Amino acid sequence: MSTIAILQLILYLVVLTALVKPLGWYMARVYQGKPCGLDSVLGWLERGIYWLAGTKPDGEMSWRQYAVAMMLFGTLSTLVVYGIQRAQHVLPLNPQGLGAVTPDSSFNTAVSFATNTNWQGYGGESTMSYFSQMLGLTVQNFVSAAAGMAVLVALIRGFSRRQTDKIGDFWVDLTRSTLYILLPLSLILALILVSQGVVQTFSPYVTASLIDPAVDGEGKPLAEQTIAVGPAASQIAIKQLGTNGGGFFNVNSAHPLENPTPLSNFLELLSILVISGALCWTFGEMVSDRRQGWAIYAAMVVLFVPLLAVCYWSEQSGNPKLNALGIDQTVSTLSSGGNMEGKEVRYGIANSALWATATTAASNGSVNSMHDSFTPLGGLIPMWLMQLGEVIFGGVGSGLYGMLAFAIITVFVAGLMVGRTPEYLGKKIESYEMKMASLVILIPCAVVLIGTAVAVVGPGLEYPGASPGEVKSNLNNPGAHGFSEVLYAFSSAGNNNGSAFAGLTANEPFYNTALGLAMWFSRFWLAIPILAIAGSLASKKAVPTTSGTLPTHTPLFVILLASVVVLVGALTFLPALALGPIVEQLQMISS
Amino acid sequence: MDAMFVGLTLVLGALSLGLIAVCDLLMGAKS
Repeated sequence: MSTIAILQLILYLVVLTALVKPLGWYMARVYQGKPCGLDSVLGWLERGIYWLAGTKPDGEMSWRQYAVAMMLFGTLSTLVVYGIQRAQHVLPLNPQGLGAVTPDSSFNTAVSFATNTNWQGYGGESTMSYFSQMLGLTVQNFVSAAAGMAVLVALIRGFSRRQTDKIGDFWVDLTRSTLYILLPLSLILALILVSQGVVQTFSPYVTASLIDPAVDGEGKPLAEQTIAVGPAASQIAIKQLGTNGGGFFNVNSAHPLENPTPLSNFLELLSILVISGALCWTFGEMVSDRRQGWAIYAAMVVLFVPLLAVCYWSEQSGNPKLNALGIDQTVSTLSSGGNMEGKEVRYGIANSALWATATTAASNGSVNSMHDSFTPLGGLIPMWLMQLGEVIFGGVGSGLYGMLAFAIITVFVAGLMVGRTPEYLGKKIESYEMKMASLVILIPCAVVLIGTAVAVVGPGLEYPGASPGEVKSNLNNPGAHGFSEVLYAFSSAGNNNGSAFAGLTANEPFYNTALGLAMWFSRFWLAIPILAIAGSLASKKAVPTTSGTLPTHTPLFVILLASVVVLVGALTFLPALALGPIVEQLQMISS
Repeated sequence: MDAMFVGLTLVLGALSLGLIAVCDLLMGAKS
């Protein structure tokens, strides 16, 4: 391990934590309807949107109305993105003349972007026109993220309000999240990324003469190379900030035109976690007890840091099989050492491991290295981070509301231990909240395990393009690693992450449909119970704090909460992990 | 194929509205 690498990891966490309070304070003002600065500039636009939509800025909804509005918006978004892809060959901004996307891929991508997952079965530069990228996918990058933030704010209002059936207005929360938080941050980040060399153009792809001519796969000489360009910076900014993760180019943030410099890498990395982290402070501010927000943030960091350390250590330690081949994996002045397969030399081990951990702790899913090439233990970390439910930072909004569901479970378990009625933030936690919180925890687990099981008993292994008698599989690897590829895919879709282990041919009807269903259920079927909890809590009166109340801002609660998250994740997924990365790690060590 | 996937999306939307109704029923039963 090198000192400079560890210093980079520490710098990242320090800068992230330093931004939690100012950004969290700003977002709290946005959601509380207080002056935030930008409202004096963009207020006319906000009011215009409400006028067009027939909504009032001080509108209120019951949890049922809020949930129905969210579902109508999600369903309509999916249908619009599906239609754009199917019609892109007749729509403008298609200088490469790309044809319509296939129906199953269109369905998968539409669900993927409407659910803030951004799983990509397609290659961006070879599949999507500029119109599809900008008006289909980038729009969803904004509004799907905003929808997650809206659901979180509704839940926070459930905690902070007393004896009411109103939890805010979905359309107002959606608009304010987009207009005052996501758009300005994305604009700033996009401009910085352009300054670093990220492309932003409507020009067709560029053809360049090769300095060193090569041959193609069929042995024909190649003298030219087509370099894909496009309006990338604007999509990349929101892909990171909105924890979407869907890259403009196929190799995502490993592409030199998507992530060209160390500064762009650092800022994109920071953008993955900054809003999710800052929302903890927003939560504390809105429930009038900032210690509660810091406690949740602390639980996230307590879980994140050890997993980052394991991933970094495993990748830096390298692969003993590569040692046997005489490949030098030691740290030197010119090399970061370690397992560099599938990693960019310009990022090295530390920034690759940090990105892999951050992108799967958040439900981001962008990559700057190929997770399929990680050591088994190093690859286990991103997979398990997703399986923990995307609550360690998690998606913008969705990560924190998932963690608050775990907090409800935690106070319930603690209440059982001391024989008291469980309370959280002055609200009694009763059987209804527990049932809904259980749904939030169990649905993704069921989706991941059932989906993986169905895939590996047949349909997920048969390559549809294979001719009779031809042995051709969706998997690049047999055995434990092949199982990991399938488990990773369903863990990613079933927790709305979107990153891919690679090695799995997923752009075919079975995976496009099955993963599409997984993404739908794990997004909307979690948000609905969360809103139901919000409605139930809002209707309750506050109970006074007594000596029997479990303090939920103390280090004890932080450890208890982190333990519940780890226990649920470990008990649910250990058997599946044993069949994939764990047995692969043992095979690697034994050989 | 288009009708199948559009139909599937609408079915998923309807099922989700059904989940809202179930959660509402459970809340009503509680109170």
